[in-house]
Amino acid sequence: MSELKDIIRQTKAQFCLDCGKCTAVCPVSRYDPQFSPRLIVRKALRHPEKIYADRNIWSCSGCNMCTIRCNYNVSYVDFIRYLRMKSREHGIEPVYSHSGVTESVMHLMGKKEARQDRLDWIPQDVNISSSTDTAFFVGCAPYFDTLFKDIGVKSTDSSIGAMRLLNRAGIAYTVLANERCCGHDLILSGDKNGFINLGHANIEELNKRGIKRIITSCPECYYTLKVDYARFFNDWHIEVQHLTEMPEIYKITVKTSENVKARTKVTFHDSCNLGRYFKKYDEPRNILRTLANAELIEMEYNRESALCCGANPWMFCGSVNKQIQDERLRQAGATGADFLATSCPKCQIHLSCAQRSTGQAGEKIKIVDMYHLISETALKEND
Amino acid sequence: MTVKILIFSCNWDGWSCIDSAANAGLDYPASVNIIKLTCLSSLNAGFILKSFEHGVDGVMLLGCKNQQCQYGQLGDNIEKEYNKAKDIIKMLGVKGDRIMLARVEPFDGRGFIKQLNGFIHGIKNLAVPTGAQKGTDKL
Repeated sequence: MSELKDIIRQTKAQFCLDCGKCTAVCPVSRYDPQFSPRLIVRKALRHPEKIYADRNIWSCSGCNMCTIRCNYNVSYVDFIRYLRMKSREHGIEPVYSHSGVTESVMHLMGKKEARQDRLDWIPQDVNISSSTDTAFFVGCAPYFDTLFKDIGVKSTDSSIGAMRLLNRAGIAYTVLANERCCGHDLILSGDKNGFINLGHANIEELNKRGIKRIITSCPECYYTLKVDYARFFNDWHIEVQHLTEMPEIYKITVKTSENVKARTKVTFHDSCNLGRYFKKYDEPRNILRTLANAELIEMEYNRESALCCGANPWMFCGSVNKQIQDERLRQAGATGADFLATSCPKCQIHLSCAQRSTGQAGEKIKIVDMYHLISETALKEND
Repeated sequence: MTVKILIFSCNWDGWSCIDSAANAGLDYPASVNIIKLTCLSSLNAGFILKSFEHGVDGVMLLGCKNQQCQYGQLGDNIEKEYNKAKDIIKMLGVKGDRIMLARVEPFDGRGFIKQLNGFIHGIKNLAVPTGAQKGTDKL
């Protein structure tokens, strides 16, 4: 009980005025009338004994739209995360999507003895240094490649694009053969033990290699390594930077040849972590504009109000999530752009999955990762 | 070394082999556990990986030959999931053939035991359990 009180204090949940702004902007509430962030807070405050069994606590996608709008900065996502952790302690398990395959992969990776063999996708032209204390954190992309082959998504293309970009910017980095998943989805789904296992394994691996700085292109890895690792692990002292934070990237100059003078029409989908959590709205857009020779056309909902890709941490994926994704695709389709550029591999997976299964207005737009787009257009032209 | 094996068997030809083996009094190790499914096509890579998460050393998928499926499944679904699970297990650094897809003739108890023993023998020869693999640090 006192723990719940602490969490209420930490997340400022007691300041909730029941004004309803959070529910009005919540993408899940839009399609699931049963779900409401403020109602969850109210239930937790009034009937804390019942809240852990409430199915609604598993519906939140963690997009942070509610906190952005909240006048009192109530941190709903952290609150929900805590409720999920407690719910698991009460023996309640969520329903996993894809039969829990991603969860199992994360748990198997978290084993101390795991010795992965996961780097065979790196092409010859990517230059990896072995004598540097900077590591490029790849994330789960190699696993996603295998798991989501059916929907035509290749997440390692994003990592390859980002690595080529770093090469071009003259930033030396190494990659770890035994890097684990950052654990974003485990901690968001309340699996604290699984997250701690992954964290310890990663810290051990990074320390063994003497890594002092991590660069990542994945927004979720960025948030988890920068914020959650600092919060959960006292021995975490590694500097974490997102690719878009590196000043060297903005110094890259590309010459555009005659045949690509026409600018590519691109609409950019803000990822929740990079956007609403870190307020990096302009950085990816600037990179796309200058490096991919892109003409950016904004969707109806963009930047702070951008609709999320509708996905939970690999659980409870159902009609509500599909409707959110469908709406996002419709918005992207309405721009008339050729490409829908994403900065997060998971956004690309979820939107591609929806595009394949629903076939709505956004069906013609090509969903592409922004780093892959840059690597395939501008960087190739300059080779 | 005890090798823990989990068999996912279909209700038809796969199960008939296990049944025949039992009727004929053929032995297989007590560390082999069996989960009966209606059809192997309902199995997903998630369940295979979940088994490894829970500490099994090998997973055997026992089902009908392609043209003999009672539900007219062509077997492409289970093959897809089997390949997916195999690729993931390899990437996780687990050595050896840990997942086996066995398509059997109905009531072939002896054939099933032979395949199972071969599978167990292969894993035993690796001499290390799933959790303690030594992989290569490429870089």
